Amino acid sequence: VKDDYLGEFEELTLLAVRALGEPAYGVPVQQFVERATGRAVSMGAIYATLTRLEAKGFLRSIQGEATATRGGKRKKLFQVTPDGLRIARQSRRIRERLWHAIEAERRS
Amino acid sequence: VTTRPSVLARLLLRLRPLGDQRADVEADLYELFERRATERGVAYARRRFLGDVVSLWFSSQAVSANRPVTTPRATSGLGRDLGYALRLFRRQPGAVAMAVIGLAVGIGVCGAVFSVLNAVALRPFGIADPATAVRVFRTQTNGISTSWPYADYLQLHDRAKLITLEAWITERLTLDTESNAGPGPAVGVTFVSGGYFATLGGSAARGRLLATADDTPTASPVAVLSYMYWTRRFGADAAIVGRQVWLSGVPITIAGVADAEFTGPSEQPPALWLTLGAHGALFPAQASFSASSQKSVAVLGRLAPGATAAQAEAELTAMWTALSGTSTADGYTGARVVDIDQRFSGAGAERAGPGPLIAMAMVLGVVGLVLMLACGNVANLLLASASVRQHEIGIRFALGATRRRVIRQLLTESLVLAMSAGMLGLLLTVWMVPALGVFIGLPPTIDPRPDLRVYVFLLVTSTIAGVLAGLAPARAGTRTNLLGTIRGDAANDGRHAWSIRSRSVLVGIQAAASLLVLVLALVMARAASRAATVETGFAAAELLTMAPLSATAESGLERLGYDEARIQRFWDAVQERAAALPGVEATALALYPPFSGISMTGAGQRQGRLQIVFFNYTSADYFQTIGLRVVRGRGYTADDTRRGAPVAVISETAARDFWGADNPIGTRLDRIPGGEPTEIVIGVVSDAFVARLSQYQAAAVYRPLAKASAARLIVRAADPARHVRAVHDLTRDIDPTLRPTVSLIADGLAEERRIPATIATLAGVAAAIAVSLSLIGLVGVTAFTVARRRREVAVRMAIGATSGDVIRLLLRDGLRPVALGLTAGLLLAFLAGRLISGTIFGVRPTDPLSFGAAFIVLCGVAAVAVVIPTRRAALTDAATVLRQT
Repeated sequence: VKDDYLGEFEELTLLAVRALGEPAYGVPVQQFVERATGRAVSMGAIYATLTRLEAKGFLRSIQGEATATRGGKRKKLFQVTPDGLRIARQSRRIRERLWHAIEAERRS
Repeated sequence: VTTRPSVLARLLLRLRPLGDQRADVEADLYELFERRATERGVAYARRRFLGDVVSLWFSSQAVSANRPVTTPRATSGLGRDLGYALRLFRRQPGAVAMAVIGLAVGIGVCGAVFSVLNAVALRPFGIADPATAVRVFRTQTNGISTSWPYADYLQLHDRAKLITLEAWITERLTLDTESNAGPGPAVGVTFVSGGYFATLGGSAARGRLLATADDTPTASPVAVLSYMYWTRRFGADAAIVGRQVWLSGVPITIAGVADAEFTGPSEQPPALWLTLGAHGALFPAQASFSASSQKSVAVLGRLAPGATAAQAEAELTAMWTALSGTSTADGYTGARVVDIDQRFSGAGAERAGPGPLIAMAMVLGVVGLVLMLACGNVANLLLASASVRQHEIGIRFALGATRRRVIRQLLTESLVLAMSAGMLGLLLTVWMVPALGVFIGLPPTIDPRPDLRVYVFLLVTSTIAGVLAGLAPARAGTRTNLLGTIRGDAANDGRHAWSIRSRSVLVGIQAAASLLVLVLALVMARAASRAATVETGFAAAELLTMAPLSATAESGLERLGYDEARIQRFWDAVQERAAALPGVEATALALYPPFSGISMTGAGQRQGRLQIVFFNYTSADYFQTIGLRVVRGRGYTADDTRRGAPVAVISETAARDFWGADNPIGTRLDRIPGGEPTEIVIGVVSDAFVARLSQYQAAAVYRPLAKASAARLIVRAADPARHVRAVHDLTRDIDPTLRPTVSLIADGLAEERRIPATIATLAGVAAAIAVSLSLIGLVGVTAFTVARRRREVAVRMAIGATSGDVIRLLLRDGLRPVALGLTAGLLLAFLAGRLISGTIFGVRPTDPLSFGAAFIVLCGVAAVAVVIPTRRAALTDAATVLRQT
């Protein structure tokens, strides 16, 4: 059962994964969200959100290649799915419509 | 500088269950840590790391991406475990009740003993800032003395700069609330220097404490009551301040009551405190505490701010050396400043025998053994239930529960059990403590009621008991072959043969111990009831006795400088004036009045017959006064007594024992205690039990009292209690320096009768504990054995055995160790009986009735303990068992 709703933090996380371009793991996502919002963001929240977004089908995870920096461990990488991209765009459209309305009112 | 996250954070991270995501998550967090440490500093990185770990704990689904099915929270929580535990208790109420009672008994015994230890040895003295309060001892070339001559103390007290010194001594005096009442109970009294309370920092709950102004021989004596004694004796009467009491006949005004915590640095807190200055008023015969007094006092001190014990010690030693010159001929070398609480260190030179710590360790060891036994029994019981539940546990494993998970559940169950037992144990403790206090003779100034320390002790004990009792069953219950358990192979598992045998041995030992204790309890109970109804053979209810010096001292009037003529005059005057009191029927003198706390026994011998007899020296009118009949011959006369004639009177029992049917008059014993065998028997008097009821023997030898120095007066009157004060007063009237003790002989008799009753009660409690513990042990082992043989039983029944056959088979196996244990117990009780034969009254220690009753009771208990689980096993539907196991 797919949930169409995207919470604010979920949206930020989703956009951060997309903005990072290539498949991203937890640390860069956390750093990105923290810098973008200027708020301290906990890893617990990031993991929970990534997991939830994956369950909703907006992200998918792949096992990345082993890298030397993390003791040769493979890491779990996230990518935005087409569904995820669609819901992010839809969210943006809703916001833009609202901003249009605000600006239209201010002009009149 | 370490550049790692804090220990706490790392620990919390290790503890957070992360499953297969652990490596990933840890790598992420440490990468972030390093990045933050380089960008914003280590402190920041640490804080954030901790924040991240905490956030992981708070988000339940944070890292379960790879698990398609997540465990619902409830099944992994404590609540769920508690739920399982309660379900189990509903299903096996009998076994659970027994386990709880078994643990409660163990915990209760531990708690009671600990309460008393706590009250005696652990309770703080209630003094301010104990760290700077000290005891001051006197060093000797060959040891340490706890006491100082008062004059030396005064010198040091006035000069010492680094330490404030105070002194005290302890005495025992009787305390009366009415001037004309009989002498009250003896209480501990501490005489202290004027600054004692100020230096120790006590405060008053009522009225005021003692001050320097009170500490002079001229001030009228005032006293401060201890809070506990005020509560016990005066019912915490708020109007106590200003009231007058009589300490050994001397009027004292109560100035106040110390606060509840203050006891002073003593193992036995006193009932009241007076000043050293008041000591002279109470002991006029002794030199008073003056500047030149060499009387011994104990010394304590308070270190001045900033001073150390070593500095104070050096100062005192230097001053003391200066005072006493260079002479150390008496072996004293200086001062030793030690911790105020000497209850554990026991540095006092006067201490002898095993230290208090050793005694304490021994008591705790025995008590710990009881607790271990209780745990062992409950573990057996739980083991039985664990083996029955192996099927359930197997299924739980099959459904994916981890071993740790199942152990946790089993431990939760046993902890819930232990906590319930702990509550019950607390009730037992509260109930047992007063009895224990009476038994070990705890002074009324010590309050043994449980306090916070006892509650914590019980909590810890319960937890330990729960883990101990639950660990083995939990391990055994989960260390199983999954498939085998579900298929039912457990019944064929031979690994437990040894453990069943060792459990049987345990049951046998417990049965033996139970029988031993139960026999002793019954013997004691019978002795108590005999003692309560015994005819003493003399008019105990109509007698009172007066000792001119003290109730227990055997030293005579010579100590006060009396010569023989004056002693004679004194007793003549006392007897004359006592006889003149209205209602007094007769008076006499004796060295050892009946039930007065002292008596003499020795060996008498005639023609090879050796026997212990009581002996006494009396005035001629003794027999008539206490109500003994002259059966044969005559009693000695006043003239015999005066001349110190070599004659003796014996009791009927002595006559029978030594002479049999012969006439003893005119003959003599070959050996007689306390004298040359020259005395000729001139008479036989009726039997009387005059001293130790426990000895239950009335063989006695009476001889004329020639030297009355240590004698006591005996007065017979219809209502002796009415004359106690009068006899006291007339004695003081004759010589005001005397401190006479007047007591009713009936009181001494009642005291003597209480001993077997007290022992019987305690033995009864011990027996109840032993029997309940072994009952639980037996049920546990039987249930365990039967559970392991369920499959065998089911097969037997499936091929035609009746439930009667099965019960008989199981009973035979189950009762064998009990039968062996009980037999051993009978033997032990027989041996123990010989050891205690000196302390019981009127019952042979090998009393067949007690042995028989104990044996039958325990057989009955054992049969019930074995039959119940056996019956249950035999009556279960064979088909169900075979399907299940």
